[in-house]
Amino acid sequence: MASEDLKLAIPTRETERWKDLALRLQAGDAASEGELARLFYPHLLAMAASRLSDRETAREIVQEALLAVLSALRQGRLREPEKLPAFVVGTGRNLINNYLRRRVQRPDALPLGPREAIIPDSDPDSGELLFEEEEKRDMVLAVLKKLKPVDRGILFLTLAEGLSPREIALEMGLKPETIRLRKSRALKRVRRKLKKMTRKGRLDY
Amino acid sequence: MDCDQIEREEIIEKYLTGRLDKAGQEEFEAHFFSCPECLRKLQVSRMLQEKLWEKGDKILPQTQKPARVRVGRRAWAYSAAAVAVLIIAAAALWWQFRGPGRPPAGMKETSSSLIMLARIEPPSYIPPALRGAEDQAAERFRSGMKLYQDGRYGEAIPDLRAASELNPERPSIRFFLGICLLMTGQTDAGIEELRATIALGESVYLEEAHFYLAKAYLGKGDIGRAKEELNWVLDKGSNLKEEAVQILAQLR
Repeated sequence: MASEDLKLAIPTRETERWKDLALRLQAGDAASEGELARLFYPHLLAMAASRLSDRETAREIVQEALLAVLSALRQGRLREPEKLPAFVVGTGRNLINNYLRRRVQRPDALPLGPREAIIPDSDPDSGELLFEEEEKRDMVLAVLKKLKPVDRGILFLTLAEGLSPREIALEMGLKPETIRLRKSRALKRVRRKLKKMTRKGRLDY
Repeated sequence: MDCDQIEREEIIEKYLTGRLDKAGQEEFEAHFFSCPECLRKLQVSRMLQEKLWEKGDKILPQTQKPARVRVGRRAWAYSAAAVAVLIIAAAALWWQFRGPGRPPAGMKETSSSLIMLARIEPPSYIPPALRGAEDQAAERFRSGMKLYQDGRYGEAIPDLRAASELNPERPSIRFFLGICLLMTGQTDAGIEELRATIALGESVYLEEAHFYLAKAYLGKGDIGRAKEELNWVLDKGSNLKEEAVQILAQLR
């Protein structure tokens, strides 16, 4: 599916919001750069970290994506400003795919330019955010340890080993439906507990 | 794609473990960029995944280590002890999860061992040095195999399928398409491709096609057919003989 075909479920009010933001960025409004980063950094990071399985590289790619979006906007390359989210997804995806292609040819190579130094930060309190991120990772481990061993096992086989419920069912001697149910409940429990434990209710991924 | 479908079809787990095809990936990405709830679910699952990779062996001492540090197929093939340890660990895991006094109905005691024997470590692929112009099938194959080398088996399937349609007579295409299908849980389709590889006759993939076919049959619990394929490797193969002997010994 080409990125132009992406159908993002954005209400009209949202469409106007994206258009406004894109036009401000195009006009070179510095304050809007921070807004762009704050709005899309979590989505891009979730996508890059999931696809690359490498947090540090994911961060670098996200910064690169935000810069590429800014650069494209300033050059007037976004013809439909109301489709800003689809443009950001597409830019992030292209950079991830380019990185993966480069990695196949040259393992561990990620050329980064000097423009890194001028990348707008996703948040002015980034130091505090990094601390919170570590705190959240500790919370995840604490919540995991509170789960029943069987549920920890199901989550492990699902997320770390990539097995399907049918494969896990065979491995654990349970029915696939039981695996699905236990996994779904365990994930809900983790999300609920993390939400309670997180002050802002926001995660970096 | 909507939130219900994402929950029902376990899209987040598939996305995180590379089991979504390219179209599915893009659809999900388009969705979570405009859905805060699904973004949050993805973030939590991703953090869990990372923690389970990091600490899985500590919080689950009886289980095997995560896939990314799993020993290679050929390495453990030469060690009977390693096979035995894996089977014992799997049996212990199965017993621990099953728990005393709760025997699962209709489940044979060998299921866990069988699953371990059926587990597939994808064969490595080294691209040949290119000589001259490539035809369209070779181009699609090369493009699919780049994804394969990166462990993105689900994403490699469309390219390999296209290559197979363009040139169904090339064993390498049918073989690696079969492996990708097996790696993404599409066992019947994988079996079909491996059979097609075998039907093409003598090739460098013939022995491996029989071997992986045996693995696929083990995954389906069809021990009879798995033995037939392993016996073929034993009689006519060379590289995978020892591994076939180990598996046949376990099956006996």
